[in-house]
Amino acid sequence: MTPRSSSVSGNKETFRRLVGECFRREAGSSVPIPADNIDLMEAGILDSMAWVSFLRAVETASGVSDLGSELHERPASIAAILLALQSARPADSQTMQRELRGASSGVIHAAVIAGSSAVTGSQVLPSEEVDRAFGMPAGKLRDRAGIESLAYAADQENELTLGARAAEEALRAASCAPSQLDWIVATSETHHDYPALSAQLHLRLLVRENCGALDVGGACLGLLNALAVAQSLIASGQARLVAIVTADVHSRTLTPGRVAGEFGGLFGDGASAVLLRSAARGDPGGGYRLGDFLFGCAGQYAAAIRVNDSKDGGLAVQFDGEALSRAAITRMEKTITAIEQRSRIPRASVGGFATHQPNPRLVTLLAKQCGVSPETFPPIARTCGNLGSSTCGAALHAALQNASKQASGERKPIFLASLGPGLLFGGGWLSPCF
Amino acid sequence: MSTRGFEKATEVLEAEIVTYLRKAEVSPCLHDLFGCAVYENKNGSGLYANPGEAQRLICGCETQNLRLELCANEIRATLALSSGEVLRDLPFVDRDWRGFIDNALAPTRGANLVARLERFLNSQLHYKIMSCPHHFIRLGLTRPFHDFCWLMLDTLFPLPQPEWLEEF
Repeated sequence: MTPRSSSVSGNKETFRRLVGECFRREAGSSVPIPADNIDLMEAGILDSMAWVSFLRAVETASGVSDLGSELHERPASIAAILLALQSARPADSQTMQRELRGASSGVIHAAVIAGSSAVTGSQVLPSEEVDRAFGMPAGKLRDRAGIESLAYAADQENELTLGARAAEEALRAASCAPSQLDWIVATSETHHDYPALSAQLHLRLLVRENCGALDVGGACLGLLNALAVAQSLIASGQARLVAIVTADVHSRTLTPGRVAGEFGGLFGDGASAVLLRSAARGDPGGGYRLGDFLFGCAGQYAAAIRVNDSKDGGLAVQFDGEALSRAAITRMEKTITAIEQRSRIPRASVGGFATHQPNPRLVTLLAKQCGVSPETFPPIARTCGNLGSSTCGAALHAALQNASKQASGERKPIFLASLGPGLLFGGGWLSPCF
Repeated sequence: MSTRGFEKATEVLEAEIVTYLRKAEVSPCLHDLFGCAVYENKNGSGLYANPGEAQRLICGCETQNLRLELCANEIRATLALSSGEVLRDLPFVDRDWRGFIDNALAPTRGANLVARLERFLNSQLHYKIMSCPHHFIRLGLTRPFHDFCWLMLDTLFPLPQPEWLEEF
């Protein structure tokens, strides 16, 4: 809790100006700014409503999000506010700290995983039942794709409820309060409503009003896109804690009669959440640090999968399963090779591969192609189906859970790799913090 | 009639009280709470109604979510109504709950009281409240104060249990 800027007096003046402006807005421009040490409530200058209102205005203007809890059992004075602002952590104050330190400080904050979670739709159906629903021979999904069961959202479940549940569980796992979140970055390949998913999660989780909300696309690559955005927000000092939430409910879109079973039958419903936090807060170790990301688009495979809304309200699906399978294996293996080169972490020493899982058969093939054990790929699609952007999130959560069972010094790196229609591809890695 | 000699003869269960409260005025959305327009404080936090416009001063509601927060030395509630509308920074004036929070912050309870209470409010308590089958709140309007009637959280069910203090 020490001021980071070399110009402490400059900080003080900037904070004082800001506090003065907020006070005038609250009390009125005709009220003179009181002396620093006067208790504004005891002196009758502000009542409790106005005091809280004043603090909220200072929080919003400064970017210091937890001023209220810093001021407990302190006098309701301008001096107390200035002291709390001075001692605020660097990433607490976004705009303000940038203003204070200038654009050239070059400080980059590493991002670490603070918590994670994954949930699936609460209706689990054996794949034979799904075969029948799509008019396919019983056993086709199991024999051809390796899918044993599919998780579908129950009537009362949707992207919002599943995503909110995942986010709340991740917050609980990280012992973080929703009020600590600086950003929610959401992604979904099935939620196309307004307000957008991130905005709805913002309301449902009751995060601070000045917590940002952003949706990113990429379909099955969405989690990696969202992680990269969140990492950038943290690296630039714009955020200290970011929730990345994925949520996909395919069972209401890819329905029998609307799409072929060979395509629609592969997909289940689920959500995941990952909390990323700035490592600048004195990380105790034992967690995972996010490495770099690489992204690209292999346009030669763009025709392998296309999904469009048609004018009659239907869904036009162009799906070349064979071509897509070949492309997926090739491109994922290439991505893993690139991650290996960039991270200098040999794939043989990786503890878990949190990859997209179009179907379990392809995961087995990918493991074989990569020369690693299939056991290092958490089995998500086998029991839940392809969860879209949530597959990678669920696999990452499972890999983190597996790692947490090991002693801190024995944890291994985790690789991330995924694909999206286009054919978009992306990858990254997580290293254990010792 | 004087109530001086009255004594407590029996107790009505919390769940039963809520059953009756749900039969009284209940609103799923902001506009119907008090039968008048509710405005956001343009200068800071809180919501208010104009004096004389409200058709009632208290109203029950179901919530999608609710959080309690310590802000300096005050307690504030933020909640989402069934309609999805979010009401932020409402003063929390429920007597039982305020007593519980005062007790939680009693110096005799050891160190790091604020941090412990905040953690409790955000985790166990949030779960206790939201998972309670008779979770219910009543919102009220203050008397005119600085020209406006401010929204406040009057009553929160379930009521706090003294044994919860042992949990944090």
